Amino acid sequence: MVIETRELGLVEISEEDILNFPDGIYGFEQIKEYVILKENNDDSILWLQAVSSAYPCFVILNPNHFLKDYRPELPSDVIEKLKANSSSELDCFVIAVIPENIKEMTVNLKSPVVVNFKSKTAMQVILEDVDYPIRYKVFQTDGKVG
Amino acid sequence: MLIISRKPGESIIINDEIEVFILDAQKDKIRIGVNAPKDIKVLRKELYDTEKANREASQSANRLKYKELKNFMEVAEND
Repeated sequence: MVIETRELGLVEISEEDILNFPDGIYGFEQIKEYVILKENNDDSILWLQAVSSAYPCFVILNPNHFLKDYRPELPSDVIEKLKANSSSELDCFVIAVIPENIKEMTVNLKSPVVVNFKSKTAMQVILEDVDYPIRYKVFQTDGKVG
Repeated sequence: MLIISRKPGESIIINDEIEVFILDAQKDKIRIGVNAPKDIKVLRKELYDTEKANREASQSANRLKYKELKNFMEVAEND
């Protein structure tokens, strides 16, 4: 099927690519279906695009690309809701806010998007009991990532 | 900021219509109950901040920035 995307024009996707977000994404609860789109097979910076309309779409990042140790513990009700047996079956992405000055980009480490590619289910999880920032600056003042 | 000491079971009233109860207090966790009219939105702060960040994220995501970001990441990584 062909979907209308906000930034990449019309894109051909397969029904199997569609991820179901039973609770939507915070602030966009009514939208339940998204696809993750890659450009040039890049696994580090991706698009999270709504299926039913061009809006909303987000830039999401693979956090382990710049924070090797970021592997949040997920509560068992999340693992259950995503129809997984353990958190090792789940993938984590973080949503980026990209201001005019790219160096000021932040990602939300407190509320990752957790995906089970096997069951095609995903959700944005607000992590309790850990002190991750909602606006984490990816580019530190020395210009390095991390 | 107004600071008030309360014990579990006690409450405060805001603007005649919102009542905030302290239900239970432990060392690092306090349970709060809020009685408010239906049109008053009560959110945990991190949820409110996540919604706000998500809205900004959806507005700030565009192709130009994606490409700029990609180049910037590569440069930063190769440093």
